[in-house]
Amino acid sequence: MVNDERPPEFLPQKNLLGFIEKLIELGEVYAPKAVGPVIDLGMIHDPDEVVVDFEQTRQGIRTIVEPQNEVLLTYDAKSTFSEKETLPLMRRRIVLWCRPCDARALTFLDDNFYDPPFVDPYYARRRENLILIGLGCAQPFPYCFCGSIGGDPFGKENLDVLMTQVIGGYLLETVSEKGREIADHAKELLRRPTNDQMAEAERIHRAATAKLRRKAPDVTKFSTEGMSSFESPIWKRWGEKCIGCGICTYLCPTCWCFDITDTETKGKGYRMRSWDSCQFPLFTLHTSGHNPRPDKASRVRQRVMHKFCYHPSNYPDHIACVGCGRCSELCPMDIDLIAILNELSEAGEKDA
Amino acid sequence: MPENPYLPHPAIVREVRQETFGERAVRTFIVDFEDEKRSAEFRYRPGQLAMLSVFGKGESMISIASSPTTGRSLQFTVMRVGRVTSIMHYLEAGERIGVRGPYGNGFPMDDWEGKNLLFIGGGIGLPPLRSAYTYALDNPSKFGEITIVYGARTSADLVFRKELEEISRSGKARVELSIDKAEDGWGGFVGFVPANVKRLSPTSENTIAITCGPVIMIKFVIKELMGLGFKPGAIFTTLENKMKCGIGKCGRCNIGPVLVCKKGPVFSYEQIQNMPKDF
Repeated sequence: MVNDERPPEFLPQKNLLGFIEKLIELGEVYAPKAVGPVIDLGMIHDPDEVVVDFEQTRQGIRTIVEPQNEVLLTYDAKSTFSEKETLPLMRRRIVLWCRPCDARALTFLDDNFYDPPFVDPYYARRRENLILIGLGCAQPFPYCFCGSIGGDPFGKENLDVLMTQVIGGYLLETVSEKGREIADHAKELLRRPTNDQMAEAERIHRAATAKLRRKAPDVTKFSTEGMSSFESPIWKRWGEKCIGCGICTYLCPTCWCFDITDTETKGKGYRMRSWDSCQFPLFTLHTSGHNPRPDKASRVRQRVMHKFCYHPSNYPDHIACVGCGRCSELCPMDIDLIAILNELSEAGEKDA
Repeated sequence: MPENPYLPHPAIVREVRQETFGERAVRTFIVDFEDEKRSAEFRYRPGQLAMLSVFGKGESMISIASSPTTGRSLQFTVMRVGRVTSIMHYLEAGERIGVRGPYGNGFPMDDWEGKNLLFIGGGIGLPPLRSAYTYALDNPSKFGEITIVYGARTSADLVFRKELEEISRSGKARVELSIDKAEDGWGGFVGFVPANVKRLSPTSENTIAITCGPVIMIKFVIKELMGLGFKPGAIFTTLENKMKCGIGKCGRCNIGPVLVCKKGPVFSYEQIQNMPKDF
């Protein structure tokens, strides 16, 4: 406990809409809302748009800091490139209710987009003006396994405010200076929590991890010994199952890969950035026809090895998975990440 | 805020040289930045890369075929093979392109001082080597003997042919050219590049071998070199995976944990032996 840490505050349920209005005064607000048939993080203009009773949003925060499509540069017929119209404005973006795992995922996106000597200015401008209000998971979801991969259903990593739903409202813990600004701005809506509310929140926190039904094996050794998994026979088997749709990478909160393409309309050119996926053969196809990852086995391997071996070997202790379970839950072929990790882990033990 | 690393800088194509003809023609583009200051700031090492923009069509990562010793103009030798490079071949002198870079590690020329340099190229693999051998030829006091072994499918597919013949005549380097199949009037070796290496049997003593070309050629060249006593740490090659950003962000050029655009494209065979077979 830091001495200047602000004591938790209580947001009564009846003040929630007012609180969201306060947030809208401060910047663009992204919150769980109905997007077609799913609940996803999207920009809201009215507090009524927020879906209060949600489980996991379809996507994490990537879409807010690295949109699925964006214009990087424009250019004119005289062939002059410009960033003037396309660099994101320094505008405050507030995410109301991201899950702690999705907030944690930004650590790995930061690793990539800030890796020296090049800072990605599009990412950085969004990231630095981002305020994250998390909602902890009292009842983790069927595919979650954050607790066994370095996370916590009430983890505070990258969050500015952590909220815990208690009877009659929400307990607010401000984690950062930005979080304190939010609480100050909405201070007339906040109350001092009762001892009962404090105790209830603590009980919920303690119980949450135990409620996680799924568990990843210990994967810390993959960053040092994982290369031996490269030649494992399991990739061929999982590759045969995969249909290469890429949904695992599109929904993964720690994926960041992108393509850059040019389009031209009416004498004006646009250099676009769009999400791409290591699960697609074109991702690595050389012009010569050579493809370093020519089959699904090598592409499934790339996805798993990148997160559990390559990334942590470049950034110690940074296993680039937060245990949200989306890749396994939404895979049309039931390719289960934990099953893959278990097989790798067992094979590693046999070798040892 | 630091400079936007995605922003290409305008450059003018000063001259276009036709290296080879045909469906997969090769042209060399000699390019100057429009901005003098940019030109002075663009300091590169042999073996580094640059991202070239053709307006409306996209970007392509091309190795720099010139040497920093040959002045401020940059040279890019490009085969017409993909979407962007095909459009690039329509560029004429005076037209504008975009350039950003330089990227990658380049050849460790300083480490090679005092050594003999053996360059072994195949087809369109010669341009990155040219950057290094030009640098070495321009710094004769720093290096020992220089040998260039180069081959292509036919004599019409040899790039920089005139320049190589001049180098040979000048006696500054030994140049050994080859073509895959016999042709009338060809006085040089006929056969694949690895066979030419075997025939020449260059000494491995105090020598660094640098090879670039088709993947299969590199594989067999390395085999020959190992047979000649070259140590894996004395053999270098460039691995040029598909790249989109060039600055280590877009995620596709990796070989295991190594991003080729940042840590490569130049690797010793010793380094490659420790990499997963992912290239």
